[in-house]
Parts: sequence; C-alpha cells; structure tokens
Amino acid sequence: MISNLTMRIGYNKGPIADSHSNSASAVRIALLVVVMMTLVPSLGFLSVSPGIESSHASVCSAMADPVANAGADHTEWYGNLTRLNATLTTSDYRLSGLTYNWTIEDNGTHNILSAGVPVSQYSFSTTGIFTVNLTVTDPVNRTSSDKVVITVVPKAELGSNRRLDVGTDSLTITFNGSNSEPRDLIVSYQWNVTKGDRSYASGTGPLFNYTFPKSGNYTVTLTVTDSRGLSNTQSIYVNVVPKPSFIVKHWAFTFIGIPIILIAAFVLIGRFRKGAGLITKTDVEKARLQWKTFKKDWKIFKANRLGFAGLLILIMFVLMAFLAPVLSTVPNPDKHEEPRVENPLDPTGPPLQANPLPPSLKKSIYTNWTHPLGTDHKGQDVYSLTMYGARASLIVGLVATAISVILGTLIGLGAGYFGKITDEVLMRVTDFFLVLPWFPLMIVMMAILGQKFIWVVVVIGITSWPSTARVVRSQVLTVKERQFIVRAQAVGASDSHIIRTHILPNVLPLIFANTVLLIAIAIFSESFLDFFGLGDPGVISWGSMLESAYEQGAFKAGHWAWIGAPGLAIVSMVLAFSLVGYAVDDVLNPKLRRR
Amino acid sequence: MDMRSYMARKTIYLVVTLFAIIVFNFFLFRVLPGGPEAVLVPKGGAGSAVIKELIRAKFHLDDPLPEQLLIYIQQIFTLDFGLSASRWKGESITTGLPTPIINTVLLVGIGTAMAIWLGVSLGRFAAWRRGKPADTVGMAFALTFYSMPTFLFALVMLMLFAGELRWFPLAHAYGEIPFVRNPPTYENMSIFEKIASRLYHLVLPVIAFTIEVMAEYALIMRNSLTDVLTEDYIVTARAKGLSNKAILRDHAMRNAMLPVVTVAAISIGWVLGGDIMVELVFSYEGLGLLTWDAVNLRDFPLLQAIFLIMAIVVLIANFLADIIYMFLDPRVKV
Repeated sequence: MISNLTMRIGYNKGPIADSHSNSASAVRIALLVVVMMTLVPSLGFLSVSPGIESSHASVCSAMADPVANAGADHTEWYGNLTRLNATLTTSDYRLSGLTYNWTIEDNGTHNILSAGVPVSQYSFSTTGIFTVNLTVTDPVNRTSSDKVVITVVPKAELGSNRRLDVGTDSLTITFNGSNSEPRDLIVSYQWNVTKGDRSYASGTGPLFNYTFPKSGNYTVTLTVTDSRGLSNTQSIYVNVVPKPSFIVKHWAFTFIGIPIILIAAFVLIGRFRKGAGLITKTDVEKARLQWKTFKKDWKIFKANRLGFAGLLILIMFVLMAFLAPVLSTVPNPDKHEEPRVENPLDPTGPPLQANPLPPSLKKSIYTNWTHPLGTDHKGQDVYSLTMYGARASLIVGLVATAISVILGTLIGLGAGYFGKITDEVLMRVTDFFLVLPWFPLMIVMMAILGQKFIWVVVVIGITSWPSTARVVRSQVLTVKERQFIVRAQAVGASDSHIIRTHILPNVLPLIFANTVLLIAIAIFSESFLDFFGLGDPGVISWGSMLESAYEQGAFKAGHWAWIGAPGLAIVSMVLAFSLVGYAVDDVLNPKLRRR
Repeated sequence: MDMRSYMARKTIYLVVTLFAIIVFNFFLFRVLPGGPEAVLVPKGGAGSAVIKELIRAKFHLDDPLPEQLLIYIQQIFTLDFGLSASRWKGESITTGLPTPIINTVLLVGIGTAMAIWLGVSLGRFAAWRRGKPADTVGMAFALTFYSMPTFLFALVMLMLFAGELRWFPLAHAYGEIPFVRNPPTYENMSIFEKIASRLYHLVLPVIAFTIEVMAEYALIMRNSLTDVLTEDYIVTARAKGLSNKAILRDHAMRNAMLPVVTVAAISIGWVLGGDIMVELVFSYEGLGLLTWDAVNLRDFPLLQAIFLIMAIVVLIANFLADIIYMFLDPRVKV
C-alpha cells in the first residue's frame, strides 16, 4: 500500500519523478521516508480503535507540549465578522486532534467558542477593546493558552465615490453618515473636505451639506467616535468635472470655421482697401485659366485607373457618412440594442435571443429592425454601426490633416523663406518632433488629455506635421531661387506679399499629394487608438468596433461579419486615399508619368 | 562645404536635439496625472501617507524642478533609470530593460532587413515594368498592405495560423518548440532548443511586421526608380548598348537607392510604432508591450526610460543616415 502511495505522490510531483537524472531513485527513497513519517501518526489518530489510542498515548508522552498562538492583535470594524486565527499554534498533533477554545467576554456575556479547527469567526455585539483567550487542548489533555487583543471600532459609512459635472449636476451635496455602525453608540461625527493639501470645510453631525466651489478632485473624510472614545475614519473621492471648454464643445467650428472666417475676412478687407470690386476682370480670367488647367489635369487623373477607382471609393464613403441615417437599418445604432431574451421556461438555459446575433435579413421580432450583418455583443446592429463609423474616420482624417498641414506649412514656409537663424531653430524643432517616437507619445498624450474625440484629432494632428514641414521647406528653397521671386524683391514687394502670391501657389500643389497620404495615416492612427481602447467611447468608430469584436472573441465564434465589415471599411478607405494621393502625385509631377 | 564641418554641424545638432529630448522627456512625465506613489501604495492602507512621503522623497518628487532635472540628467549619464513603479515593483529599471530590448531588436531587426530586401525587390520589379499590368498588380498589392492597419493584419494572422490551425504559438517571445509536446522551461533548454523556440515564436510577428513595412519601401523604391529611369543618362546607357541588367544595376539602382536610405532612417520612429501594434497583438514581450503596460500602470519612471531609449535610437539612426547619405551622394548640401 505504501509503495502504491509513493508512486501516486511521485506522479503528482511530476518534475521530480520525471526528471531523467541519476538521483531519481534517491529522490524516490527520500519521498518514501517522508510519506511514512507523516502518514503513520495521522493514520493512528484517524482510527477509532481504543487499543491503538492507548498505545499512542504512551508513545507521545515523550513529545513536547502544544504552544498556543492566538495570532496578532488587530482592529476590526463593528459589524464585521472577526476572524480568530490560531493557525500558528504548534503541536505534535498539528494535523488533527487539537481542540481550540476561545473565551470571549462580550458586553457582560461569557461566550466560549469551541472548535476542532484553528480558525473561528465571531461577531462582537458592541465596540470596545476585547481580550480573547485561546486554550488549546491536545488529545492527551495537555493545554496551552494565549490571548489576543481585538479592538472593535465603529464603522464610518459615507457612501461611494461620486462624480459631478459642473453645469449639469447640482454641486450641493448632502453626505449621509447616519449609516455608520453602531448607530446608538456614536457620539460625534467629524467631516472634512480637502483638495490636495488644502482643507476646504469641516462640520459635525450625521448629515453634512457642502457646496463644491469649483472643479477638482476632493476628498471627503468622515471620522466617527463612539462613547468609548474609539474612532474610525473613512474617506471618499468626489470628482467635480469642469464644464467642457469652448474648444471641446465647439471643436469643429474652432478648427474649421474660425480659419475659414479669418481667411475670408482678410481677402475681403484687402479687396475693399484696394477699392476694387468684389469680382474683377482679372479674377474671371484667372478662374477661366484655372478651370482649363483643371480640365487637363482631370483627363490625366482619369487615365490613372487605380486613382480613379480610389476616387470612386472615396465618394462612396463620403455619401455613406452623409446618408448614414438613411442607409442604416437602425436609427442611432449606438443607442438601440437588441435585447437578450431569456427563455421563460428555462431561465438558466441559453437565452432565446443571444447576442451577438448572426447576420439575418429577417426583421427582429423584438425591435422590428433588420440586422443584415448581425449584431454585436451588446445587440447593436453591425451594419448600421459601420455606416455611422465612416463619419468619425472622415472627420479625423480631414481635421487632423488640416491641423498638421497648417502647422507644417507655416513652419516649413518660415524656415525655407527666411533662412539663417530662423531656419536653424525651426528645423531643429522639426527634427525634434520627427525623432520623438510618435506612437508612445500619442498613447501618453491620450492618457494625459483624457478620452475625448477632439483630443484624438488634435493628438494625431500635432504628431504628424514634421514631414509636411520638411517637404514644404525643400519646395520653398527651390522656388525661392527662381527669377520671379528675385524680381518681386527688386520692385520692393513685402515678404508677406511674396509668400502669399508667389511662393504659396507654387508650393501648395506639390504638398497636396503628401496631404492626401497624411489623411490615410490619420485614419490609420485613429483606428489604432480606438482599437486599443484609447479613443472616445461615446463615438461610433470602426476601431472600437474591431476592439469589441476582438475582446468578445468574434474570431473564435466565427462571427466574420462583425470583424469583416469595419476591417474592410478601414482598409478600403485608407486604400482609396492612398490611391488618390499617388494619382494626384502623378498629375502634379509630370516627370513620374510614362512618356 | 567640406566633409569635416558638415559632420561637426551634424554632431552639434545631435547634441542639441538630444538635450531637448531629455528636457522634454523630463517635463512630459511631470505633467501626467497620478505618480509613482499612487501606483505603489494601495488606497486607504494604514500609514499610507507616511509611505507616500517616503516614496516621493525616493523619487525626488518634492525637490524644486531644476534640481530634479539635474538629478535626472545625472542619472541618465550613469545609466540609472531609477526604480520601476509597477512592472518589477521597486526594482531597478536598468536591470529589467535588457530582456525586452533584446526581444524587440530580434523582431525589428529581422523584420526590417527582410522588409528592405523584399520591398526594394518588389519596387524594382514594378518600376522596370512601369505602366504594364505587372506594375499595376504589384503596386495594388503593396498599397493594399500599406493601407491595412498593422494590428488588423496581425490579428487575422494570429487567429488563422495560431488560433484555428495551431501551427504557431499564440503568445510570448519564447517557450514552445515545434513538434515537442512538453518543452522544458527556457532556462533548461539547450542552445539549439533556445534558438528553435525563439524562431518558432518569431515567425508570425516577423511576417506581420515585414509585410506592413515592406509595402512602404516598395512604394518609395518604385517612385524613386521611375524618377531615375527618366534621366538622360539612362537613355545614354541604353544607346551605348548596355544590357537591361547592367543599366538597372550600375546606373539606375545606385541613384534610386538614395531615398530608401533616408526613409529607412526616418521611418524607424514609425517602425517602432508598428512594432508596438505587432507586439501587443502577439503578446510578444518586447519594448512595445512594455510601453503599453507602463502606460496602463502609470509607471512613469519606466515610461520615461523607454521613451528616452526610443528617441535616442531614432536620433542616432537619423544621424547615421545623414552621414551615410553624404558618402553615397557627395552632391548633398545641407
């Protein structure tokens, strides 16, 4: 029997027994000895035969007395079960046979907890400092005792952490401490409101009113003291969120509207100062020439089949973004969820209507909507989410690129045109941003700024401008050496005039291709940020759809539409922008064309 | 401008940018919300205020900022990046960093080498057949992978080859060996087993990484070569009766490779970004995964060290590219 046991234990201790070293047999013998030493005495206790019991008493009388250990003194909340732990007690009979008696004087009553296991639990009926005695008795009636001091303090209770939005929530909060236990013994309540190192307010009484003056992270602390002088302090955090700033609220207007208004104002003021009409003959002539060039370019562009295909895809996506409410089968797909319906006959069994749903063209019997590509884990319609997702991608692509192009063009123009020390400084700044690892930077900035859609746009914009700045600078350097610039300078034209009328028109077409490629990269980055959970959770985007599909194991479940729809959408949108970008490059840089 | 002053200037730029990066790095992680004391000390524990004080003192967080900056610079030059606040609780970052760096260098090194080789080959193939169906197909292929987010491609590969078919391991940088049911732990492997295990785990991440990066090189190579092939000296070479191979190898490729060198250096920053995606998807224990963990755990000392290392790598790569470029193309002007 013992060899059988040894083999089982040997098998359990896999690595030792399976190792093919020479010491395997030695290990086996050592194990055998250990098993015998531990099993023999305990087997004796398990048997009920009195003969063996007496024989053991004589054997064990030579052994040591037990040493009781009641554990460390500690503090416990009122109302909690106090854990009495004597596992550190040492005895020759550790495995079984010891009796643990806990003597507790509690509020005049004398309780004795008796157990065969070292751990017991007790709930004190009042607060105070209690001494609990432990007596350990072993099977041969030798005893040992120890004591532990348990301080039972009242429990301050002031609710959970709160989050308040300035402007939408009332900032006057009543904190309720009257749920602190034991209610009848608590004599004083002390409230404190702090923010950082500064104390804002304090008060007494079970109820406490406070109006938060401004945004920030406050700590509200409640200290309760009972009639015995025992006290307990608990704190909660109150996060008062500031009103969204103007930029966060009206970011689209700030980043697109204001520049357009400014440019229009400048143009108009310039016209009126010159005393010319709004549209002069020169303007008409210019427009005619531009239209002619455009028609020529369009012919070349159309000949580039890949580029034309890209443009068609792009138009499709723009239509998708604008017509999302018409095209989708579910209005506001992020708000409407297909319910998960339990089987009324068997509530524990699989639900009748499970999320995610497989694709189906039939109308849902619950919500009367169709789900041509199925639903996701929350029951939201994948097809409609994909339609709406085009909006986020296009907005990020266009606005982030606008930020990046404006910044890059300004810096590139300044560096290239003014040269010398301006160039040095600006190019060092550019170099600096170029070598910053943009990806970790993006992650870190999103962590600082918080997950707002606007910050996704801004972060992508300001991490991608250095390449534009470089391209613009090199173009400005070549344009600057041309004859017409020298002539303009000779007749005394101002720098701003030269930049506006001579340099910009010659540089902008060349960076246009770069811009289109930047859009592709911006869309890319946005989907990445969303996929790794750094985007705005309140915005429908393809990246976050992919994230939830991945998290919910859509691959394993074979729910390909859930991954395929947003994945294909991202790929084709980025591809379309890239194709158009290369085609535009082809049109504007004639050298690249096949002769 | 002669070579020596050019190099001197570039070196000065290098030092200036390096200093700017150190300062930026220093301040960036001072403005982040939550610090090491918030990570290391559990909320509401007994005596937590005292421990927080001690930790703030340990990380020099209560000194005036300029003093902290000086301490920081001093620490960088003695390669002392401080103590990690999360990953290896309270341990030195300098001892913990080499393993992930080696893992990343393996992945990025093999991946980039393959990507440049394959990308240049594909670009050359397409450019030489410019305007023909082969060009269109090749470029459509390159553009498709260029447009595909790395994480998406990596994810599909992971799910297909590791999840469904079980040909490759699902995660980690080492641990499994092909055709071995119960591999020993990494420490107990023989050197061949170690190499086999590493390669086995590298296959999928390297393929995902290579195909993504390759597309970019293919596009640049194709553009640059089509540009060069329109030059007059190519016409001259053809008129001389040189073979196509000779024209391509001796005349066209030499000039066309120049932009590839520049882009190879500049794109290292992007390469590290793509690397984060690949490492995250394949749970490959490299610098990218470490960055991710550091951000999520608010481990600023560790983040700071990673950030600095990445920035310095990109900086040095750019510097080397400038120098190499000057030797390849003596016409270059700053």
